[in-house]
Amino acid sequence: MLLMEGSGRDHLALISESKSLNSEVFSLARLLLLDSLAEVELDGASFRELKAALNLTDGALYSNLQALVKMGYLTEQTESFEGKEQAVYKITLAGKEEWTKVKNWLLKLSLEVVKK
Amino acid sequence: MNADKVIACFKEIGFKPVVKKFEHRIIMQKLAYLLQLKGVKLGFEFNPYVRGPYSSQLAKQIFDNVEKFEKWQTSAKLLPIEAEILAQFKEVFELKASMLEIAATYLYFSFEKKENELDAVRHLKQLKPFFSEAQFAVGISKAKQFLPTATEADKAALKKELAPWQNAAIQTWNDFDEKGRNLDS
Repeated sequence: MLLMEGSGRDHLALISESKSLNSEVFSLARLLLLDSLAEVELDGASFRELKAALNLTDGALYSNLQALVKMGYLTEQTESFEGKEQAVYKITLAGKEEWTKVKNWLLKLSLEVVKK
Repeated sequence: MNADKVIACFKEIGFKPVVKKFEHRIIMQKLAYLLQLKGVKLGFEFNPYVRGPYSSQLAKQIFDNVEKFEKWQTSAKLLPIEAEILAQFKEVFELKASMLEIAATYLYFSFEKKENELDAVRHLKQLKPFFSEAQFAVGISKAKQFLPTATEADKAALKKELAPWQNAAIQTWNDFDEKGRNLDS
């Protein structure tokens, strides 16, 4: 009985906490982008590096990157690489904070699933 | 983590980085990775990210010490063996981001992950499909020159070559008893 009550409370807290998250980042591509760019936070990564590592099409990658830029989670700048210009993306402070919130929430969710 | 020694390495090689340049930051990362792989003790942890082997610890040191890196301000001294490694680096590589990126990523798979030649090249090309075949060929060849790794075929050839010597040694060993007396005489 106690266990059930405990489990119920955790679950409700999880639902309540989800309201503080931005649901627009919840797609696999966006989560992977935030995670990848948080890992190379200071340097960022180029469009072509992200495309190859995440195995996304040009269109899918571009639209998801632009959505995250619009949300204020990423910045886009042009950098030179061996004489050629390329788009480089970096995570912003707001992006990092949102990603940390989402990550912690996903961790709690997975623990909740394991408990069941 | 020894940022001072990284600066000493850059100075020895003659690489004066401009930190705000994306391309220079790639060179800094890959150079430090290759030197550390070859035995220069820099103490940074490198992990595989979307950009290949990358150290967020080194990135932080670079951004926290921009002036030191750009002006080669360091009191670190290189050991003779480290100076030798840097001399080898200069002999093999040019300070070209693409070449260092290919070499570092190839060695990550072949040397650190101990993948065979085919798998290492396949993984390298998956992660960096935007480089040309010519760039891959040069980068991989430079990587092998800098840090030779024995393939299974190399090991088999070596074993075959050494087999007669090994057999002779065993035969000689068997010719003596435990007190060192020659059993043939």
